[in-house]
Amino acid sequence: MNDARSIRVLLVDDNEIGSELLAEFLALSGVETRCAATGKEALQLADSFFPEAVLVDILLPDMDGYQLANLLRARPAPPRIYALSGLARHDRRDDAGGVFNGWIEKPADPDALLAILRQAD
Amino acid sequence: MNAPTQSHPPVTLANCDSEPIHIPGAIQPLGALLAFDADGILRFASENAAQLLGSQLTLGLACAPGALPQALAHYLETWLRNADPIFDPLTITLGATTYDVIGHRNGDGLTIIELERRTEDNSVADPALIYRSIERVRRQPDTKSLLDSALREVRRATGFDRVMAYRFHPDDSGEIVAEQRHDTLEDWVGRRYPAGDIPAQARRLYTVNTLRQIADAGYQPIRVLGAPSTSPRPLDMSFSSLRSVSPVHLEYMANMGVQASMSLSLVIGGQLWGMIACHHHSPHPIPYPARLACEALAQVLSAAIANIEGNARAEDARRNAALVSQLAERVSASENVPHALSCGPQTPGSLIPGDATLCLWGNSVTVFGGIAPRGELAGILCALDQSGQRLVHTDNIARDYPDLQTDLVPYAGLLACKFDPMNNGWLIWLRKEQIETLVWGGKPEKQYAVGSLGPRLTPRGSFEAWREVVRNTSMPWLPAELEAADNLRDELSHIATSRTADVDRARTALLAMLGHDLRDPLQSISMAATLLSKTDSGARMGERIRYSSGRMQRLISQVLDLSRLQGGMGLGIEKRPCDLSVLVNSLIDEKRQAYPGLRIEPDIEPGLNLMADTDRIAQVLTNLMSNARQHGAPRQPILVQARRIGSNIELRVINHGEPIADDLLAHLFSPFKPESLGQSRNRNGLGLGLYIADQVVRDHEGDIAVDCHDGLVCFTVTLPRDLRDTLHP
Repeated sequence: MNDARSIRVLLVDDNEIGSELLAEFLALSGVETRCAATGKEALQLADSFFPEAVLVDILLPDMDGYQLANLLRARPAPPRIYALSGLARHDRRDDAGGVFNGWIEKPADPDALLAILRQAD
Repeated sequence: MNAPTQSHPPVTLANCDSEPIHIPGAIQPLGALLAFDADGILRFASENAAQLLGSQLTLGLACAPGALPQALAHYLETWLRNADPIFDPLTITLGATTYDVIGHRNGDGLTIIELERRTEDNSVADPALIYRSIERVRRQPDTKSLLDSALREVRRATGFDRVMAYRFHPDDSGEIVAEQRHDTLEDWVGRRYPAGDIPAQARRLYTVNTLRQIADAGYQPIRVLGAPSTSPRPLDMSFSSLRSVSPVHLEYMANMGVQASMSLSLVIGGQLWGMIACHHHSPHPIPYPARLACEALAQVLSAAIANIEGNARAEDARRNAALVSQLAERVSASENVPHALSCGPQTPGSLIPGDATLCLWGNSVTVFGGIAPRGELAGILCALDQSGQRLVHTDNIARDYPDLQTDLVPYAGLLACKFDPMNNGWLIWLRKEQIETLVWGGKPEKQYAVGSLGPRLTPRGSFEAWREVVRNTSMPWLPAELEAADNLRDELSHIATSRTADVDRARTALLAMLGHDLRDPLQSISMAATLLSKTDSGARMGERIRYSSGRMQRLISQVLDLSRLQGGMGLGIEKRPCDLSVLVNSLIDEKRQAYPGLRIEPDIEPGLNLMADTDRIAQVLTNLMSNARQHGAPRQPILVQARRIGSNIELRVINHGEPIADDLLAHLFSPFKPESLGQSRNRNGLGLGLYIADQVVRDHEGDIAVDCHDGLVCFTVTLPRDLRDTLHP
């Protein structure tokens, strides 16, 4: 499971139990992980933690995942941003701007998720 | 003069509706009648004609010169050549007697000339006076005062003892609606007569020939004779003014002590709206010019009534439309339909007159007016619902719905419509027997004479007959009333339908939200399982949780797909180039890993490319393989084949096993299978798999089919290749 390269991942989800569990799993797999429950918190963490990948839930308390992704994209050296959402694929908004690098449906297979996070830019 | 023109069987009450009253073969003895053909040949003549003219007449020959009075002979020449069937009248004098000469051409092309003796009767006014009355009639503002005014003028002009206006109801029964009479006579206003009192043929005749007089009911008819060589066709006297009338009618007059009568038809839009009937208790001939003036007055009256009624109908329609939209507005602004309908001064009861108006909604009965019927309303309406009509209506419950009669006591007429099938919403209007609402009925009445045809031919007998006809009958539901009810039903049902759609949308949204919200805890379970399995002790537990959450995920996906399909949203298929060979092989590998003992024998042609939604096709194949594994014979292999057939790709999943039972086969691709309930073997799903698979394949313009043969159960999916997009990216 361990990979030589350690990466920094930010989880943005107001479902804190889910986030904590995922963070614990990723930590076991050698991924450095931070959790944010709101968009605002995520933006603050992005300034100090410099994540390489961000997993964003679409339905956040203060903004939606699309807005957050756009704000993150607007920064210098933006991270890879993935939607991690319970919305079924056909309920997604048209992702015309290509704001996400990928879409991962809940519940995600942990190993597959890990593989996505580890893939090179 | 020889053979009589025809002979009828004697007329009785039983056959009077088939009596050919337009060819009576006789005239009243007020004068004489002659009928000539186009060549001037005398075809028919009344028996008294020769004597009246004082000359020799021979049927079958033209009149000899001098046989007719000079003026008449002159006019006959003109009339025979005249294309117009109605001729200007003239008067001639024979000896001391003046005659009105009335000519017309009948339906058979014969020119009929009637000579009617002019009697000088001081009680009859100058026709000019009657024409002046017309202006007075025309000024009246409503039907009642129109009729009163017209009757007053007719009585003033003609001197009849009694002048009445009949109005015909939709069932053709008659009612005396207005009257002018001699002080000594009893009041007949409100009396009712069955439709049969004016038989159908008389009704037709009165519609075209609007005036009839009987100057002396005790008359001896004078026969009209025809030329022997003439065809046996009798003389059509539809438009004749001397036409002899039915003996039944004469007996009726005699029973009432009436000796003279005149009737004027009120015709509106080609229909007999009513009549003005005049009675006199002694012989009372009305001179032809005075009759003509009365006829003109009746025509003006008809036109005025038509105008007033037309305006009233338009006003009613406007009022009803406004009322319907007011009620609809109230209902659409409220959740509680019966309350909304009853909360204002106007209710559905204001729309259509009746004795009770009710609404059933769900299980609650709301009464807008009157009292509810005896039986339970929901049950009554359930029985009416069988008819399948939008509007159920009857003016005779006993005849049309005998089973409901006791439940609907005390009502005889019903109009009902269902406006909300989801909530069992009905509107009902009820009417009592019309006889109950009648004012007149038991007034004391003097004894009338009874003739040979029995007591039926008296006003009392007539009323009894009418009462028999209308027993158990309410006032009829008029076309305008049915239309108003249907309009209200239409508006309310639109509101109900859009409400149902709102509820459906909310339900779909709720299901979708449920599916979405379930994914979060599922994610946590799955993650916790993964974490658990990272330590040795939790490995077994972790596998179980993983397996269970996987199954839960499939169920959630199926419920979501179902809610989308049922909500008409479709599955959101996204087609991309897809290598089906690779996909099938990888799915087989997955299956083998999950079920190590399972034998799968693939036969997959390589390079099967098509445009498809890879995830959705994978879902179809996974479902078919799961079914084959679960339902197939144990220890037998599952065959999976994929090959190109023409422009299609054919995928087959085959297992060994018993044929699928016919009753199951019928519902195999339906979302809700009766068999799924209590089906113990199908532990792995909701039975929605094949339904969704079918939808996926359809969305790919493909086809899914099943057949059972030789101990094999074979599902075949046919997908069109449609490579346009892959060839031209």
